[in-house]
Amino acid sequence: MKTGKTADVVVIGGGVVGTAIAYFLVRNNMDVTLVDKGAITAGTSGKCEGDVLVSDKAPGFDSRLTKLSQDLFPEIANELDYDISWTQKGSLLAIENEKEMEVAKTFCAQLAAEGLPVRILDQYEVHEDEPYLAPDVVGGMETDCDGSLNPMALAYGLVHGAKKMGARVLTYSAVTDIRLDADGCVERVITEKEEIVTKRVVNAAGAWAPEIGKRVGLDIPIRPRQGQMLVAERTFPVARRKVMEFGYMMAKFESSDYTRNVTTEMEKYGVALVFEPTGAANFLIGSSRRFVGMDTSCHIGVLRAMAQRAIRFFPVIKDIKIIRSYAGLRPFTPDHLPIISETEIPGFYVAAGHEGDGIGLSLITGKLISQMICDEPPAIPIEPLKLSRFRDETTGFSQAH
Amino acid sequence: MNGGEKFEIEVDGKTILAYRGQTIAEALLASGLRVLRLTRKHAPRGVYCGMGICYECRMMVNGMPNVRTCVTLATPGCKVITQDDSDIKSPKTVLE
Repeated sequence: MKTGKTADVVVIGGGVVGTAIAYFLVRNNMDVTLVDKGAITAGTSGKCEGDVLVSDKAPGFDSRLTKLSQDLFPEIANELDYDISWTQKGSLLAIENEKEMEVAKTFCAQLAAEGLPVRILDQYEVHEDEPYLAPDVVGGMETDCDGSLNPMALAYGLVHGAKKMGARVLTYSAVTDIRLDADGCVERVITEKEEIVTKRVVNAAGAWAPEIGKRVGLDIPIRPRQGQMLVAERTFPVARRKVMEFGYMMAKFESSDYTRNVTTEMEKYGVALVFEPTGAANFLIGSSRRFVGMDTSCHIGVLRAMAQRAIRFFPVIKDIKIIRSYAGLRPFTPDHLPIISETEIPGFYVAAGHEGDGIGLSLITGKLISQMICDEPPAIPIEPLKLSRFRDETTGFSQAH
Repeated sequence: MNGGEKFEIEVDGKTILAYRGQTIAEALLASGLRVLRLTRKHAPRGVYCGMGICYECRMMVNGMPNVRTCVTLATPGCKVITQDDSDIKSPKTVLE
């Protein structure tokens, strides 16, 4: 093992969150080493989709945090010497019936009050917009600022950018220990390949963050929540941009006693339509949610339910071939907000728990951690993102487990 | 193939003959048409495996792209179009 390496900050995790943190830190003149137990994007960031959406966020802190992040993408896409396939075509939430329309109008007004470019489309407009939608879809909510990108390209772009500015990247090198000094402050990080003397560690290990937390005796309330995806063949544009179903949002925010007209399987696996066109003229179909530990194998029942849900909204999909499927682990927190936080251990930071929003929130996470470490004022008040919130509330860690 | 029921199908706007029981690919080959699809870089592609495995013979049939013509039977009046993978047309556009 090599010794004698030093760094201002060691970032653990080579997904979009870890690479964004490394990028922002090195841009702020910090000496950074990024480590991962495997390859860049070998975890969740390589097994997801590329959403950067505000339309599915709760109006208020959640939507503000997301918008701050979204606004960073055009700038970073431009700055990186790497094509991340960033497009900003907006998104559409398809509305199934009048009851959903009622809730959607209120929701849309709340997002509009936050200054977001959202509007309701009526039945005529929604079918003009997306001609392949099932004829009974009664309307939609359009969000002009929503975008998408290639998540693997984003992480690699950030890594290349960070390296050019002097960051070191250490892949296939699992962290085996994190040592604290006599005062309980971070002193060094020990990996399979080398030992790095550092005063600061950022745990950006996503679904694996609790494992890293254990090395310093810290409880991190993140659980892996599995999400599966289908990949369709290259074909004509079934929809020109991101399409999701509004009904799922109603369930997500528990805004009413509304239940969707879905099969038992769809209910059981938390299936809701997500349609995402890719830069290669394929499209992705999601989504599902299950707690099955660290299992990343696909389940035929889940895939079938997702396909059926997609066909309900886009009947033409029944004649389009699926070429592949995959599953990833979304780092779930009990209150659905990420942890972007200092901890009781001086020098140990957590930036994980983004669940399905990691791509969209990657850049603001990088910026906030960089501001925290460089003693700059945060871009947004960070109280709701603190790890300590789970100890303050009754809805905290012990209950969630 | 002879003796069976004979009908017409349309290929890129021109009419060719097909027999009942024939796949679209067979009818095209019998009429001397061998380029069924163009790749994204506009290289020609035709029938290769002939059994639905290689996906080389995909064409637009009655508006739908990516139809494997080697495992799809010709039907009277069906409309077949050479597929251009650099710009796969939407069924609604093609049928209008």
